[in-house]
Amino acid sequence: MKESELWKNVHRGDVDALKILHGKYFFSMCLWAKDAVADDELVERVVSDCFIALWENRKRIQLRSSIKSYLFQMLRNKLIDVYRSRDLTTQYVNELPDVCLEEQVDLKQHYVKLYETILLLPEQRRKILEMAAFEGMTYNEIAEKMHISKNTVKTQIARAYRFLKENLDPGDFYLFCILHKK
Amino acid sequence: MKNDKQLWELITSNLYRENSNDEQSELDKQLQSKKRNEKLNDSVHSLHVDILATNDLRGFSKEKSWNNIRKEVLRKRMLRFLNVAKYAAIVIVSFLLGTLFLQKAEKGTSIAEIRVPLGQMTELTLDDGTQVWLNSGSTLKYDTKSDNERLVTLEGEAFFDVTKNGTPFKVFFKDAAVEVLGTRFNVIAYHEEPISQVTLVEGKVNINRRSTLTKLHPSEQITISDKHKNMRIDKVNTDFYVSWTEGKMVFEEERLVNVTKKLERWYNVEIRFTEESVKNLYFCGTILKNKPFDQIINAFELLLPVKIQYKHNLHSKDQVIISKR
Repeated sequence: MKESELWKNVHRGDVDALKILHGKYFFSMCLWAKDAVADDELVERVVSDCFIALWENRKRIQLRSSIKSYLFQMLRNKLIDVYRSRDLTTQYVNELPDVCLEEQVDLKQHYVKLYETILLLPEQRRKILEMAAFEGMTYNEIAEKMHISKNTVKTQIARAYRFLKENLDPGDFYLFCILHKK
Repeated sequence: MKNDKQLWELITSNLYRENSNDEQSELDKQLQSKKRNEKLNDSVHSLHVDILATNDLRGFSKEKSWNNIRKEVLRKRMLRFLNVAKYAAIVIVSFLLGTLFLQKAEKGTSIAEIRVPLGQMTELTLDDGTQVWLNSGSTLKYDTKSDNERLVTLEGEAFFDVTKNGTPFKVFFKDAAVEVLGTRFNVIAYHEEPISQVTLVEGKVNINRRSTLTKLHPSEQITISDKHKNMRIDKVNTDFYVSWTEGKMVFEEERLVNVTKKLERWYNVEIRFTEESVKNLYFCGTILKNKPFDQIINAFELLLPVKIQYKHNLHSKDQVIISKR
């Protein structure tokens, strides 16, 4: 569905359309806000609030540009509110990247896409990858924890990378298909 | 394919320094043998860097966020629905009431009934413009249809300010009735009390009881005993009988037991005396209804030689016990 179509449906009161928008921008908004606020929980709440506000004000909102830049602008304003309410120095606010720079957002979008592809891995494989990549565990430690052989760990890691590579390369029609099947 | 699998494992294990020396030399050999293999190795390396960067996203849950949003959206919807439903309910109820009255009207009568719960007071204006203040625990019924007579039935206490329009206005209470044309008067006729009283503030009224008519003049009060035929007329200060409509009670040398009877209805409490003698203490003063009850009992303790105990009950009326100090 096209962005403009999606917004039209949200405007009309379609919760499913809101869900699609949320699914599309949740992670990139979080990632973008994380640069300004280190508290993940707070970031998640602020991002959620953006969608709630979008829904509540949908009748009044006149989009001048894309829904994407509207959401990020809203996020930026809400982050500024957070700073003000916590009486933090507003110095950082000035350093908040300007949302009008769409490349900023698109850069993040690349990581979001990768992360969402990681989430598509079979659960055990994903866990093994996370233990190796994010938790710094050795193959032996992982094998012990998962009650599998070290060799299986090696195979699973290789398969995980292969899956990601194949699904992220340009012309990733395959990924397109599975994402939409989900 | 087999080779492919091996190459992938060598490349990825290398990322985590998990290759043995032999495996490492095998990897180096394969990378040098084909340009394609080296290219693959490079792209897996940059993929690895990106994967590490996604660590930033692991603290967020799309599902949790969406559930919160959905909950909020549904809550807002429910609120809006209730808001609309509230008005719809009013429309439906008034429609039903309307049809109820219409049906009754077709049969010739239509009795409306107003009941005031204990601890409350209400003020209403009848069709003819007559104003009625209903005190706590009172019920007023009136015939909305009758053309040549204005009839109301009272149980409890009410103050009437009757509009003069040529047709008689009658208040039925217990076994008597007050007939007026246009005046201001107070009627007290609670079932649980053995006497009723009508107090005239201005104008003229007739009391009709057991086929005798008794005239009352301004500032006169008639006290009717349920059991006896005789009635007593006294001159009174009418202020007390008007003041309650303004949310205050003025007591001039009133027996405490009579004061507490009013308070019981007004505050929906039960007041008990431990000694008979306490009932006959006299109380002077004005009680404002909008003041909290404990302020009033404090005043009693201050003005009278009494001790007051307040018992808060969950399932029945609160109890106030007044004893000698």
